[in-house]
Amino acid sequence: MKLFIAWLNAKHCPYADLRFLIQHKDILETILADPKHGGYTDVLTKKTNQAIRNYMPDSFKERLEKQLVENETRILLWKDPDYPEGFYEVDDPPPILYLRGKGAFPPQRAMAIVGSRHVTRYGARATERFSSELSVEKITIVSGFAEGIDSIAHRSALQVGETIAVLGGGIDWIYPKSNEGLYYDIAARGTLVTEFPFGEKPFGHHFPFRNRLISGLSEAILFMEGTHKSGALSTIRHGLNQGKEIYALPGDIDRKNSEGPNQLIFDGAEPLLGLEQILAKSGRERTAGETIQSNSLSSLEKLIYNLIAKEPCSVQHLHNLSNQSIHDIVSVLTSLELKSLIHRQGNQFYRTGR
Amino acid sequence: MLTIVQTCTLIGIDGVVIRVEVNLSNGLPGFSIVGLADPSIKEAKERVRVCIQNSGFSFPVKKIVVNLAPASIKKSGTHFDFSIAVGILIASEQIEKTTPRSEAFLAECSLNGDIRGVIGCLPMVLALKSAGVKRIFLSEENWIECLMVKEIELIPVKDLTDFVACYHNKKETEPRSALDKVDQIHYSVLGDFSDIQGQSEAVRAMQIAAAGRHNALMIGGPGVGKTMIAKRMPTIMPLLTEEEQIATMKIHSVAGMPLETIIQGLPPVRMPHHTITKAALVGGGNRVLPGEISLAHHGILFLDELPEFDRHTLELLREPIEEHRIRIARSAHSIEFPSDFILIAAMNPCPCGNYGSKYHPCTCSRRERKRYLDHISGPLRDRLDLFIEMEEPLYTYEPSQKTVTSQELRASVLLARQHQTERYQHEMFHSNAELAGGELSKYCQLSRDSKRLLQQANRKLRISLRSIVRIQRIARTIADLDQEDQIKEAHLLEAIHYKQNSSRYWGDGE
Amino acid sequence: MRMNRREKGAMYEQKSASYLESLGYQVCAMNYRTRVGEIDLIVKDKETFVFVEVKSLLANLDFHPSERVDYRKQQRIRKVAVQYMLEINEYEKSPMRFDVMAWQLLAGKENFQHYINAF
Repeated sequence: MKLFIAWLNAKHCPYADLRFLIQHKDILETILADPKHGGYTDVLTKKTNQAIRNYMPDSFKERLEKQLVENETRILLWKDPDYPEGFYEVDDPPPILYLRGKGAFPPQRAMAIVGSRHVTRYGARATERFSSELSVEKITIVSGFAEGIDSIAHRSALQVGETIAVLGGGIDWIYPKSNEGLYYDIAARGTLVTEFPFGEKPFGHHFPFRNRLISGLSEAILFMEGTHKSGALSTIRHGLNQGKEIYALPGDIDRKNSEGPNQLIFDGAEPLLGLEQILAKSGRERTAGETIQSNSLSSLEKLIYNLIAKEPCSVQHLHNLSNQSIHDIVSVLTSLELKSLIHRQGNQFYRTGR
Repeated sequence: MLTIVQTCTLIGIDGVVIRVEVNLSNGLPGFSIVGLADPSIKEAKERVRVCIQNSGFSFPVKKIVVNLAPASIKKSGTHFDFSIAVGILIASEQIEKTTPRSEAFLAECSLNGDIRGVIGCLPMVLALKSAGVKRIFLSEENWIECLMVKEIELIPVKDLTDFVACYHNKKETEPRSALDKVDQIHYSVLGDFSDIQGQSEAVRAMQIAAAGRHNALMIGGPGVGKTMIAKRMPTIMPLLTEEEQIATMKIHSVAGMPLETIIQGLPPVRMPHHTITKAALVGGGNRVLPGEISLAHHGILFLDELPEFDRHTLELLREPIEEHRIRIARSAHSIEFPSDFILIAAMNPCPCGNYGSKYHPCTCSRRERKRYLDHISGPLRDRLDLFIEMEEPLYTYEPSQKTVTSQELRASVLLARQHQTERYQHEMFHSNAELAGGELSKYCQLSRDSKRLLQQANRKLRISLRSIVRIQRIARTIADLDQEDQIKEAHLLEAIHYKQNSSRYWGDGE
Repeated sequence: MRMNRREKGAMYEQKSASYLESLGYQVCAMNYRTRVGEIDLIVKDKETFVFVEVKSLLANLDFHPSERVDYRKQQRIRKVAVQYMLEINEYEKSPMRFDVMAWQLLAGKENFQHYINAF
């Protein structure tokens, strides 16, 4: 069945037809028994009927299997147990998903971080901050794998936890090319997901379309930066339709890149002020002072992080408290800083977001 | 009656052999010295005359002409006295002539006949030795500083009478071993790193600096122990090799500085005050003398209150830091002094010293802070590898158990230096601080993960590419301290920490 | 017995000459005079020509000769001495020396001091 749906998807048949066929397995099986018959013109579109007639199970099977293996990809159908709940709510839910990566899918909890491809330092810093802070809270960061805010969000999330990238083309298309390294990093520790078949080019019109999936996966959407006509705003629109919480990062009024979020705040979105606020809204206390368990941290990193989480510390203070050698402490501090878990002010190291 | 004896003069810190030609002739009695002698030598006339008379010899009533050859070199110093006196005594046949070609005389005469020490004796002895001189007569005080020089007979004399006795081998010279007591190293006078409370990060950074000869900057408010740490640096550095010792002593000898600690093999520490003039820092003056940077050769140059130094004075440090020498140009000639030092600088975080302190509010405005920090130019900052921010230690009832002794620190520094010596045995340089360009990539190979780490640091912590080069050098030293051939991620992370302190103060290559 | 200064000077010069002769010196000239100046006494001590300046009528003998024979006087005597040596064709052949003889009359008693190699 997956094979057949994939075929129809590759032939760009309307999602409604595909969902209909998945829903009505009997019809699907009848068709599969005799694809050339073509007697469902009344329920299926002309395009679908034609695709069914042209179905070449053997050669397509061979090709698809090869592609699945080569790209380490698995397929998820509408109504499969792993199919994300959120996707049932979106417009025209995708009947088929191509997944790649070792991360959990669907995610337990996820939030989207979106924004423009062009970033300011302010936007980048805030993105890093929220992305890693949310990751610490074991919230998966969803974004669109574009340059700029998206990439920063993915990268920062990967330092601590998991991330999901919703692609605008086939899973075998690494777009933008500059994110190739990130692509494999996500494949190793997160999830790449797309509704588009193999070989599908990342056409411009795909992006606003796939944006509904970004919001569909997430319980909240954080809009970091973008002009008033940013593509990321379409994610927000989808999110509003789906009833998601919208946060926008307040910015300078003369900063072009803050036009979008500021306007959004004016229109009623939550200004993005801090982690506490998000967690409070989503009905959860932050895990303040609580030990973090992320597997990406070594035991020493955890030890130091937890000390800093209790109170801001200086290097000397950590040295006195932890009984670790000074050089170990210093390297762990840099490492945690690289993961945006802590930051430094003067002599003191603070848990980020405090 | 013509007599020729030998002595020496200094050009920079190198000796040049000078022949003192003494001629006594009939004619109008008189005493003249020719051969580009400066006033300090002209005055020798009176000292020599009285010294000879007061030692029971007669000063010849002749026309005395002394020529200092080669006559084209400008000469100065009081050490010509002795050779002129000896020349006159020989020429007037009051003492016998022996083998003037293989002898030399270096000392000042006093009016009562005593033979006194002179400055710059060591380099002159070395120059005479290489010119083939076998016996050198000098004062007792200079004798001690020159004991390092082997394969030459150094004869200490007390006064002119004593000299004549020695000269005619009527008196045994004391055996050299009489001064073996200087071989004892007195680390205790310098203090110990275990005296330092609660500055483990800075102590660690100093260990790295000593191990890889990196330049470091300590930033911290008043009283956090910056000077204390700098003073103790020699205790964690390897002892000077004989070659280094001689090179350093030459400079100190020329400058007339005490040599005790260097004779013991301890690297020198120079701590010039921030009001220092350019000439005093890099060397110069009418008679060109080595400056503080050369006195710190093979040792530590500690500049406290770095931003208080004159900006232009500080900029002069750039050349010696790169080239390990300083060239002082004069219209006629230029003089080169070696100056291979580890620069340890210290400064307050802001003019009032409280910026970043947990306990005291900083009263400086942003602008004041910026102006203060801007005293240290980018190019100079670039030559500093380690930046340490020091926190005010709090008084505790019990002294912290976590101090390390100098001996512990020195042990790993020695091993790290040894690693470097072995690794760079076929190179022109010998320490990690000098790694650059091709050598850097040759000796600091990084794993894939390490490279990724640096990439992250570059992006996330905004560490410039130039700083990354420095980070690799420091990481190399940290790895050497760990006895690792390969630079590990932990080494890089630690190195990033020390470099990052700089970008928080000055920003970094944006 | 009253004498004028000149006669007194001549007398002490004579006394000096006799004294030096008694030491075995050979008197070469007295009051040798050229255009430049005058030397009171020229004697010969073996090889060495000794040029003597005689100072008389001093209140005190405890002085350094250069205090009494000032620099200009010294230079003048040197010049004259060179002229003398040239005249007898001995210049730079024999050693030269400059002495001062100082005389004092104290309580009717004559004291004197011989400063050898005075300048």
